[in-house]
Amino acid sequence: METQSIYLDQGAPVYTWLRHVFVPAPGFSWDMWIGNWVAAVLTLALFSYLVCDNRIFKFAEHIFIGSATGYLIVRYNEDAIVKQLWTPFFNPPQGAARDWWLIIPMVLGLMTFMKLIPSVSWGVRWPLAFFAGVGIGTGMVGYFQANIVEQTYVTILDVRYIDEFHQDFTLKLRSDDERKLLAQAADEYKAKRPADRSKFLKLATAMIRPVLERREWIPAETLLLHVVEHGLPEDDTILLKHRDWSRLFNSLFMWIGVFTGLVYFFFSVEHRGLMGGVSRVGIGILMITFGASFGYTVMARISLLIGRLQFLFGDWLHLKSGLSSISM
Amino acid sequence: MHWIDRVKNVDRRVIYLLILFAVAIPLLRPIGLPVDISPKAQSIYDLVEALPNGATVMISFDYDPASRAEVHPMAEAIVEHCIRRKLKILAPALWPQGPSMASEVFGKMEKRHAGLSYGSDYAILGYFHGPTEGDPQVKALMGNLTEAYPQDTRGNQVRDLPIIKSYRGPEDLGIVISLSAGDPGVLAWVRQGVSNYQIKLAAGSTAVQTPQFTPYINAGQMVGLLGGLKGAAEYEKLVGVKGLGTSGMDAQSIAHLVIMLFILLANFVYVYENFVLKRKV
Repeated sequence: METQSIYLDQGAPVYTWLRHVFVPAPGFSWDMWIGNWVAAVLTLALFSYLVCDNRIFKFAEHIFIGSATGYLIVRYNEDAIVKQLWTPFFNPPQGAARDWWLIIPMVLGLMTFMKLIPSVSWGVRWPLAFFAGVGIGTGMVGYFQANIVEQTYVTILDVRYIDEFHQDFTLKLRSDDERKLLAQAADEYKAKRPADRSKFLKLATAMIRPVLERREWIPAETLLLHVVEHGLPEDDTILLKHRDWSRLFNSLFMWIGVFTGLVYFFFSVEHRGLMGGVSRVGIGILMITFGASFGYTVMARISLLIGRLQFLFGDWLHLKSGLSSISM
Repeated sequence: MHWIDRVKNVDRRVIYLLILFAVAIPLLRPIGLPVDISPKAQSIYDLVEALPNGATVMISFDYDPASRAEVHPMAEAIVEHCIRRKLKILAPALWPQGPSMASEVFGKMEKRHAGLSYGSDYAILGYFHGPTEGDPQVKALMGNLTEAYPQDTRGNQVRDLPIIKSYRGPEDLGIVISLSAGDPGVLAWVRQGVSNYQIKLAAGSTAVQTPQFTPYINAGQMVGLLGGLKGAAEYEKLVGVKGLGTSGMDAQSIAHLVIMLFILLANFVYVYENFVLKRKV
């Protein structure tokens, strides 16, 4: 596709550049050109709200809502109803059996329309109850596992790390396989003597992860370097000297954050005295979290503006090829 | 009018105009500010690099045109990387608008990579509604892909596609990447895909969601995370392409600088008014 010559920054003559803003360039179809112009005019119409509320903005807003809703209805119909219900049930492909189970979602789907007839509007409760039941039933275990069990576990890891930091970390090998894995990783590390030490250390420590399963508070890199330097002991117990103050700080900060945050949400005791002080620290931690979220939100909003200007300067006005989503 | 009152009552349109200039000028005249790579982006890149040729990956298009500016550049960079590594890509979508976003990305890739074949190298499976949106979508997808998708977006029978012949289940997926702009998205993949099927999950998300997902990285439930346009620029740098993420980073930095200056100015005015002026009075 010959798109290079139309961009002003790539040395397109002003006449050529200007002509292709108003007439599609070779390789660009009219529907793409019309689409770009409609999108550009609507973008500017929506930007006009920044000056003041006006009819052009309202017009663009209504077009957006209408077209988005229309698009969604078509997509739901096409992807959910036709492909997953109508075709498999009424028009199954050659060789495939009719899926009779689809009668259940079909009936439940039709029952949602009972809401429109007041005398039988009770019928809508059945599909709603089904949707709620399926949603809760499916999500409950996963939610508990992902948000409670795993998150609690990593918090406990930090507590164990703090607990063991003041003394030597002790690792008891649980099987010969663990011994072999450690020896293998250490040999590989010694044999390669890599130039990019930190990258290889990362790969080698990834190798010994199974040894640290369910005792991840033990520092993997220290363990590997210990085995490289001292070899494996006879009695299956490895004592590690480890003083990573930055990790200790992180673990302490994490633990204090979780503890004080939980105290802030504990309402059965009045927040006075010691309790008040701890909950204040909790508020402080929460404020830092909200601050980080707000920073990311600002970044997101600016990104949206950047996206629109990239479209206006690149795809619409052809000022700069690097901003065009088509040319890259 | 005292100058403090003038600053306090500055027309908001002046701020809009300054932000507009702060974004527009660097877009047209890039400064070339450096983009550093975060460990969260690096780990996704490393995992994709470590996959053997021909491995299957799943990239879920869980966003719509409203989030295109942030998520689409990272979609292009990730898909580009997977194609270079000769990985097979399955592209489902938890959002109805996702398949059109996927079509746009793969359409561009087909022009860039001659010989990229639909059905063998990639398949856009389309939108899957599932029993209800969210967790049940992912659970059904992971449970039986061909049952969830009788047909793809091009009307092919999914079970007849060559890419599906070698796919037995979630255990065959080298990595699952959810490109997410909200719900349903990453959270459903964590709760169902990671907790129940032990998939290796990474995500590319809008910046607004990024802090919400960070705990899952720390807990090892996610491999990596690309946050907003910055995440896209990081991955573009890793892959070695100059996309819309990279071209937007100068503008992003300058706009943030302007916002920070306004925050400092507002704080200065507050301090000056409450501590200096009041003392004088």
